Amino acid sequence: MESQRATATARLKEASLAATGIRLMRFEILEGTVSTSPGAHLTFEMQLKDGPATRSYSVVDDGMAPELITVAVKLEDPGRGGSRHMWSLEPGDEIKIIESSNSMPVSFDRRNYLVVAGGIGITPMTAIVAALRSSGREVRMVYCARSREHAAFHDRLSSLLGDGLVMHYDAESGFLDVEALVSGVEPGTQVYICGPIGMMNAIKAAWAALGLPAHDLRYETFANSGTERSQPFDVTVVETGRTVHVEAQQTLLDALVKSGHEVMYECLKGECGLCKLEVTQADTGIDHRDVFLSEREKASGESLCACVSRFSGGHAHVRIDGISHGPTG
Amino acid sequence: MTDRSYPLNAWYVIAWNHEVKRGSMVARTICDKPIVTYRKQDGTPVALDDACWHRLVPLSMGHLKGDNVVCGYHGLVYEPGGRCIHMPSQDTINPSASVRSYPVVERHRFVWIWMGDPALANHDLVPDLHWNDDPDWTGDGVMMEVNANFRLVVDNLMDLTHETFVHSGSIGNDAVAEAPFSVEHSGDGATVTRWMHDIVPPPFWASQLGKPGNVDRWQIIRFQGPSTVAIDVGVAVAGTGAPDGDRSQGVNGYILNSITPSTETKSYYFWSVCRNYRIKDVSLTTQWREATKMIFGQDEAILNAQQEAIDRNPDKVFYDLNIDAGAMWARRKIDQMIERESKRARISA
Repeated sequence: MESQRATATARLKEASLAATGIRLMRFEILEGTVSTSPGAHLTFEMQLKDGPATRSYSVVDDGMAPELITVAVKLEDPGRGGSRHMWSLEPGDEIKIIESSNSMPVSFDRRNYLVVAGGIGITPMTAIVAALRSSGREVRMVYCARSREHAAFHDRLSSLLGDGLVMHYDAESGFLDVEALVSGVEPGTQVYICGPIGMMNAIKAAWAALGLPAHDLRYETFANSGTERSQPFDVTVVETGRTVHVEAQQTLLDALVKSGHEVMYECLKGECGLCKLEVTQADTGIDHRDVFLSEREKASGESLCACVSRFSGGHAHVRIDGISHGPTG
Repeated sequence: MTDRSYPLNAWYVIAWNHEVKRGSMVARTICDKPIVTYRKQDGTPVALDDACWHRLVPLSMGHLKGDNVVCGYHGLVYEPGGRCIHMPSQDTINPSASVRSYPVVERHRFVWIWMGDPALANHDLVPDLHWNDDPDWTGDGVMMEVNANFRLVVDNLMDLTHETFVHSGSIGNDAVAEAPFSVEHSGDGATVTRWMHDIVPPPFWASQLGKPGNVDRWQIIRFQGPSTVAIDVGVAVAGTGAPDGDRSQGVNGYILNSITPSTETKSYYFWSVCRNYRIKDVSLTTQWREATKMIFGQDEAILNAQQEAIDRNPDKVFYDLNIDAGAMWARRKIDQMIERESKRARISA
């Protein structure tokens, strides 16, 4: 059952560069209303060359224009085309916005908070940090960016957090020491993380290894980031015997649906597990980009979530129907 | 302008603190949203959306397990921050699975909830109803579910002229309707002051004062937007200086009211009556509460009928009298609070 989501027509009022490769875009609402809360994203409707599409972007709170809706869009190249479309918009252009649920809502029931952001994962954190600070909560933030030029919102965060902001530039000091970071977290601290899947997986693994409570670690999934660059590949569907080609810019689920295969799916970001397929044969590894399968299931290579995960090239055989759902032990 | 009659960026009473017990849940609809409230093991109150993320069944139909809520349908478990920490029949937990948790604070014997932007939920903004737990005062009250928009209840409290007509025989007499009053306003508040000099006390106040003769009577109505009204009331022996600040020859009470919008046509009306004399007299506390229940029951009948009349006369509007000045200021303050939040694009709701 789908509920009715609020929608609005918005006009791009101004756009500027927030950092290298990150476009800050401010929209004014012309008609309708959409509600957001710290950490929430909004869905934008757009026309891409393959047809209508939607993309979600986290709402930014940089303290500058509370009456406008601000998002920051990283140019993904190669990507599936959404960010290129957003970058092509000019002031005065109109776009439809759909309200989305907040998958990382802020809870204000703790005294201490740690926020870890990597790259474009900074966007939802701007609003979360602003909300926590304005309600007087202690916030420490570790912000990882490739270099100073790639770090958006530095001045804003610095004024909100003072000494609580620790910048980490990969180009200067290599990757973040995740284990040191996690083992230094005080008990009872609420942790929010958002960033590339490699960083998130490392933090989640370190968190689990120390036996820390799962609900103290909250994260948002960025469905399009994988550990490898997307490759084209072929899959043969066991039930139909047909072979389907999947382009680098296309998801496995899209290719299967376009070729007339019926696949059940829902979240499209690797969370719900409804699009899980069984892998019966593969001549390359799998780039698992979902958060549904357990580490053991991922390591076994026996299944993948078609909406986000992909084969690393080559040719594989998958089964769509009659596969096993439920815990694997 | 939004269609809502109430602002969201405000503290509203969700329950008396004694209503929220350890081990059980209270379900209420606040600002058109189903909310469930309960206490953690350490006593801290919690408020969550009362609808499971999965299939929207009210969480209040489930049960508590320690600090967490277990959905009564498929056993999903939520921690007090609203995040799902257990899902049936799978190895991992969908990170999006959560219900909204709301800022809550316990103060002045009430549990307050903030329905709007949580970033603005400053505890300093909780309305002042300190008489409820001030050691120099005593009193008690209840919650009444009124089938009327909260503004109608605020109207009722901001203009006590109605006492003469609705509550004749207890607190109302002709003097109230005929005495002049003044109105001041600042910030989100407004105050209506009415002094009745050298009048025959109505029966209730005559018995409280316990002294013969005429009195100077006061009603100082303090509105704190959007829906809290603290009314300073009392009588003193006429001519003993009460209007100039010497209330030593009188008795003083506070009628504390906070009205929480449930829907556009329903409100939770929390009230208490407090006094600063004979504070160890528990029977008197009970008498005050029961008498007020009777008096407010008369208001409730009027308010319910008024809402029904509004619904049945959609082509008609309100007209105002001079006596509505206080209520009109309260309404303007409420409108301004709503206007302020609709100027922000990011209204969380």
